[in-house]
Amino acid sequence: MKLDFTNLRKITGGDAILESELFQIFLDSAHECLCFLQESVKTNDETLWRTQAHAFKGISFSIGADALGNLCKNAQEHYMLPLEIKKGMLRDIEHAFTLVEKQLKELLAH
Amino acid sequence: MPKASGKAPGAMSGNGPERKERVVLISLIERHASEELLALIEDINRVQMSVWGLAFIKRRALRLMTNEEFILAIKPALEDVTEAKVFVLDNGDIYITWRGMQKRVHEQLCTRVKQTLLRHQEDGPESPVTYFDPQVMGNEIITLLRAQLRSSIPPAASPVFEKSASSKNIPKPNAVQTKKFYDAIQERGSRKQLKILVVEDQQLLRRLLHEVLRGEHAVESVAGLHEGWNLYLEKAPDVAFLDIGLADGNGHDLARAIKQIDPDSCVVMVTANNTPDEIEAARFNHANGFVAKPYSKNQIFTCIDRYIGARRLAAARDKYV
Repeated sequence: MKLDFTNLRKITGGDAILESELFQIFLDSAHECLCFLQESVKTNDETLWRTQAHAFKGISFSIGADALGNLCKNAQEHYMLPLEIKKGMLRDIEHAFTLVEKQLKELLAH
Repeated sequence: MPKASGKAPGAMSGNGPERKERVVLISLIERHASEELLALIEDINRVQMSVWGLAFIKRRALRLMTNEEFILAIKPALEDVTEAKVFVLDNGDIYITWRGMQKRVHEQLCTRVKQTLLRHQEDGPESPVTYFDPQVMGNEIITLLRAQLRSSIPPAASPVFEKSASSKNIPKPNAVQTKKFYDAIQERGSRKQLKILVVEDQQLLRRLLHEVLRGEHAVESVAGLHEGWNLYLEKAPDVAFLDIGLADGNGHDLARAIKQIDPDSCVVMVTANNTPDEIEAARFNHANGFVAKPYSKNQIFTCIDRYIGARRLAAARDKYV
């Protein structure tokens, strides 16, 4: 799962400190979104699912994590599907996020 | 989904030798006029802006003419206003709203209508133009308008429109805020640097947009609708970038409230939900731009450049027209 920083770099101008700050904000926000998504599955809260998938989608696309963003977009659009299907969507999102997180943490370590 | 079909059949200029000549935009609203009018009146009532006047003219009292001919005929009565909207309802009845002198414009409208537009000049002493005093433009008038308009208001077609059509969760500005706001509006024309407001609840996206704009402009970013509203009233920014899905409300509501008190503002909606409904709601609220996330630097700068261009054009028009 490759991250595409093209658009982000146009904004940061390659400023490594700013990029680190943005990556960290993304990771913190993404963890928060994931927690809410997991909670929404437990409580079968469609509104919470939709709003958090929407939020997760926005930050994912902005950081260049397009594959993750598309999974979130799909989750947002299909918020009314049965719980079992949404659990599968959540697993896919968690997996995609793990890969994105790994890459970002490697970048942050350098 | 309601659509505003505002047309500008003509601009007018005052010709008095002592008067500075100016252009007044008169918008004609025919499609979904009832809904648009009611929404406008509710907003005028909500923010208690006494700068708007409202008058009603029964179509059957007028001689036969097109809506465009009607506007051309009443133009001279509106030369003292800064903006006017003519709403033609489905039954042909006409509501006129304007920003500017209340009583004087009403008198001029009455004179104009009586002199040239009435079907029967011997209709009697009753005024052909019913005037609504903005000082009492409260719930009574809303109720009256609702009763008058009820038969012609179609049900809202989408939840997005329902959200955008009312701004109930946005508080009215108090006296201090109102004064501060008008002071800031006065100061806006002479600013050396644009003031930009960003309302975005996602920290990452707020930071990114702030980063795009900072340096060239004075940027203030907030996370919530209410913070955004208060800051807008305090600073009267040149451009406001508004996220739609905010934690404490809907960005469309904020856009609508801003456009009602400050029609010259530049409001740009920024969202990851670039659906037709959202775009339509933004258009309905007269937002100046709609940017889908993830946005590029160029998209943001294009919005600002458009605003700067429009401002220059307006300044040139005021100078030379």
